[in-house]
Amino acid sequence: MIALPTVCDRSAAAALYPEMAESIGVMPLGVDASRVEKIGQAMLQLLVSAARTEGGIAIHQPSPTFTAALDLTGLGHIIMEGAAA
Amino acid sequence: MTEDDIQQIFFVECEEALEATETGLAACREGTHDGETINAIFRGVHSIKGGAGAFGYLPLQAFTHGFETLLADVREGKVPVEPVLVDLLLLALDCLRDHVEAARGGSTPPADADLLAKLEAAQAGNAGAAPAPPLPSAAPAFDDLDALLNELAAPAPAAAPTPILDTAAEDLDSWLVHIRPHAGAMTKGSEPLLWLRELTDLGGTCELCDNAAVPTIEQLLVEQGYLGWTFRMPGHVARASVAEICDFVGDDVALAYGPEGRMPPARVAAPTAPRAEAAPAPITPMSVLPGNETTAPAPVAAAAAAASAPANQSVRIDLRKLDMLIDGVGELVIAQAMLAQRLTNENLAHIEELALIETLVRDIQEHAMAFRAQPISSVFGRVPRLLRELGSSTGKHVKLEVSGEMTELDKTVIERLSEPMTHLIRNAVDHGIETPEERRAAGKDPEGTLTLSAEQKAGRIIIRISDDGRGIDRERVLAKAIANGLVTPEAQLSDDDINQLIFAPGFSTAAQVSNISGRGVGMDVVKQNVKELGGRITIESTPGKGTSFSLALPLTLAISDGMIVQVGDQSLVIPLTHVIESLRPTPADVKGMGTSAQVLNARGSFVPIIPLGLLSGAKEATSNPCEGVLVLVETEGHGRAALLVDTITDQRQFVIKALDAHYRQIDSVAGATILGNGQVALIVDVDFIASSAARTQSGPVMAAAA
Repeated sequence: MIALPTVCDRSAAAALYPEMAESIGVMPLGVDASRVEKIGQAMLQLLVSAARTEGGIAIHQPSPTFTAALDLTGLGHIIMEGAAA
Repeated sequence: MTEDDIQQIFFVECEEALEATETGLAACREGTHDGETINAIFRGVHSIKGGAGAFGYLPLQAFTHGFETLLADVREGKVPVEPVLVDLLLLALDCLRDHVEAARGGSTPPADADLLAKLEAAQAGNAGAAPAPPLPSAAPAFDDLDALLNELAAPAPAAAPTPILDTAAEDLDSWLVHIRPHAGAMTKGSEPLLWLRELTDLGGTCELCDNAAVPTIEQLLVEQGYLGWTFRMPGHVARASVAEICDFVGDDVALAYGPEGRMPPARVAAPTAPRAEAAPAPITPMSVLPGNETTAPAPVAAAAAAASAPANQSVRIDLRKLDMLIDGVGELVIAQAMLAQRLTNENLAHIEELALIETLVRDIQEHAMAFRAQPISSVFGRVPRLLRELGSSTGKHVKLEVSGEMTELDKTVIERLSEPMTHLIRNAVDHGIETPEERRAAGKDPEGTLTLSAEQKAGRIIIRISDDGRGIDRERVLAKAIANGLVTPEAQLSDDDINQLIFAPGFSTAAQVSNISGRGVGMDVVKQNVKELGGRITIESTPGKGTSFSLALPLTLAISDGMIVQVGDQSLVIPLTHVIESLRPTPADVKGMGTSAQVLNARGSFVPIIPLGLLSGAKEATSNPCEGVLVLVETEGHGRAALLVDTITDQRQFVIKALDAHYRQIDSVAGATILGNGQVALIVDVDFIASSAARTQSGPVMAAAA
C-alpha cells in the first residue's frame, strides 16, 4: 500500500515515482488517497500511468479533494477503476 | 531546483510585477498612459495570479482575480481611466502588495472584502444602478484558507449557476476548447489543473480527457505533460477570456477551439534512447475526438512552436554564489598585492606582466562589484505607497519628484537603506511639510513636494531627501536640547550643530508634533543605520523653505580606500572617508591638558590627540606628537580628533574582512585586512575611538585585538 502525501505536486510525483514503479505488480497496488489536500497534473498522470500498468492500482479512501480533482479532469473512470469498495 | 527555489523566484517576480504595475498606475495618474501601459498593468497582476494559483496562495489568487477582472474591463475600454478609478487601482495595488507579503511570510492575509466589493462595483457591467447578476467568477472574499481548500475540493460550483443562465443558449452557442499543457506548463510554477478549475468557474464542463498519451509506468517521465482536455464552454464566454487563463505560460500550452479544432498533440520530449517508443503515442489521441482526422497537427501548436522564446537577457544567480565570487576576487586582490610586494623585493617591480595582472585584477574586481549593484529604484519605488499612506493618515498630500533612480549601489546597502529612508520620509511629511492651510497661508502650493535624488559622486553615492516644508525650528530644537540636558545653556552652537542635535539619542521630537513619534525608530537610529553602512548623514535646513537630508554612502561594503599607518610594530588602516589631513606638528601646536592628555591646535581649534600606539598596545610606538604624524579625522557626532601614528606607509584600496566571523566583534576595530606583505592589519573604527577618547582619554582598548 502506498500512501499519497498531503500535497501531491510535481515534486511529490517525482519523489513517489520510483516507489510506484517498483511496487506495481500483477495484483492491483493499493493507493491510500485519504490525506490528499492538493493534487496536480503530474500526480494524476502518474496514477493514470500506474493504472494502465500490469495489475493497475486500487484507490483507498479518496479524500474529497482527490475526488474533486478526478471530477474536474474527467479521469475518474480510469483512476478509480480498481478502487476498493 | 526544489519547489522552495521556484517559490523564491515567484516572489522575486511578484516584486517585479508589482513595480511594473506601480509604474503603470503612476503613468495613468499623470495621464501619460496608453494601451500598452494598461496591458503592462494587466500582465503584472495576471502573472501574480498565475503563480499564486500554482503555489496554492488562494487568498492572493482570489484577490488578484477580482483585481484582474476590473483591469480586463479597463483594457477593453469598457471602463474609462479616471482619477477615481486610478485611486481605486492604487488602493488595490497596496492591498495586493500586502497579500504578497502575507503569502511570503505565511502570515494572515489582509482583509480585502471591502476592496474586492469596490473593485467589482467598478466593473463595466456594474456601472449602472441595477446590480448585475453575480458571475460565478466574482468569488466572495476569502479569508479562511481551510474554507478555500474545501471550496477547491468541492465539486465545480459553477455547474450550478450557469445552466440557469444558459439553458436556452447552451446547446446552440456553446463551444469547445481543447487544452494541452506541455511539460513547461508544469515546471514553471504553474499547475494546469488550476486552469481547468478556472474554466469550470467560467461555466465550462469537461467533455473529455485525452489520456491516451500516458505510457505505462516504466516509460513515464514525471515532468512531461501527457494529458489534454476538451472543455465545453457556454456561449457567453469569450474565447479571449479562456486564452487569458493560460496566456502567461506562453507556448507551454497549446489551445485549439471549436468542434473541428483538433486536440493539439502532446509534445513529449524525445526521451532517452530506450524510451523512444513513447514518442509516437501522441498521434493516437487525436482520432478520439469527433470530427477529427489524423492529419497535420493543429495550427495553434505549430504557431506556438514557431514563436520560439527570445534569447534570455538575464540570469538569476543565488546570492551566496555571488558572494563566493566576490570573496574570491578579494583574495585575488590580496594575492596580487603580495605578488607585487615580493617582486619589488626582488627588484622586479616594473615588469610588464605585473602591470597587466594589476589592470586585469582591477577590471575583474569592478565587474564583480557590479554584479551586486542594483538600481536604487527598488528603494525609491516603495516611496509612492508610503506617501499615499502618510497622506491618508496626516491629510497632507505630497508630490514626489525622483531623479537618478537608476543609480546603482551594492545590494546589501540597498537592503539596509530602506529603513532609514522610510523614517526620514515619514519625518519629512510629518514634521517638515505643513498642513495645506498653513502652506496656503505661507503662500506655498498647498500640495507639498518631496524630492528624492541619487547620484554617484567621488566614489560615493549621495542620496538626498528634501522637502519644501517649514524647515527645522532651531530655536525650539535648542530649547528642547537644553531642557533635556543634552547641551549646556551657555554653549555656543552653529546652525549645523543644532541641526545635528536631532540625531542625539533620547532627543524627543514630541514637542514638535505628531502621531508618528513613538514609532520606536528615532533619528539616532537612522544615523546609526547610516553609520553602519559606512555612510554619513548631513542636514541642510532653511526655515520656511524646507529641509534636506543627504546620505553619503560607500559604493560597496567589501572594498574601501584606506591609509595604512605604522604604529610601533603594528600596521593599522584608517578608512580614508574619515581623514581630513595629516600633519607633523611643531611643539608650539601641541598643548598639554591635565596630566596625560594632549590637544592639537589645528588652525585655531583644539582637537584631542589620540595616540593609536597606546590603544593598540603596539610596542615602541612614539608618544611624542612632534616625532610622529598626526592624522586629522572627522567623526560623526564627536567632532574631530588627531590620531597619533609613527608614519604613513601607503594609501590604497583594501579588502574588508569582518573580524566577528573569525574571532569576535571588537569595539574600536572595524575589521581587518591583509596587506601586500601578508601581514594582517586592523581597520580602525575612528568613530568609536574618538568617542571613547572623549570619555577616558586613554586606556588599552585595542590591546585585546592586537
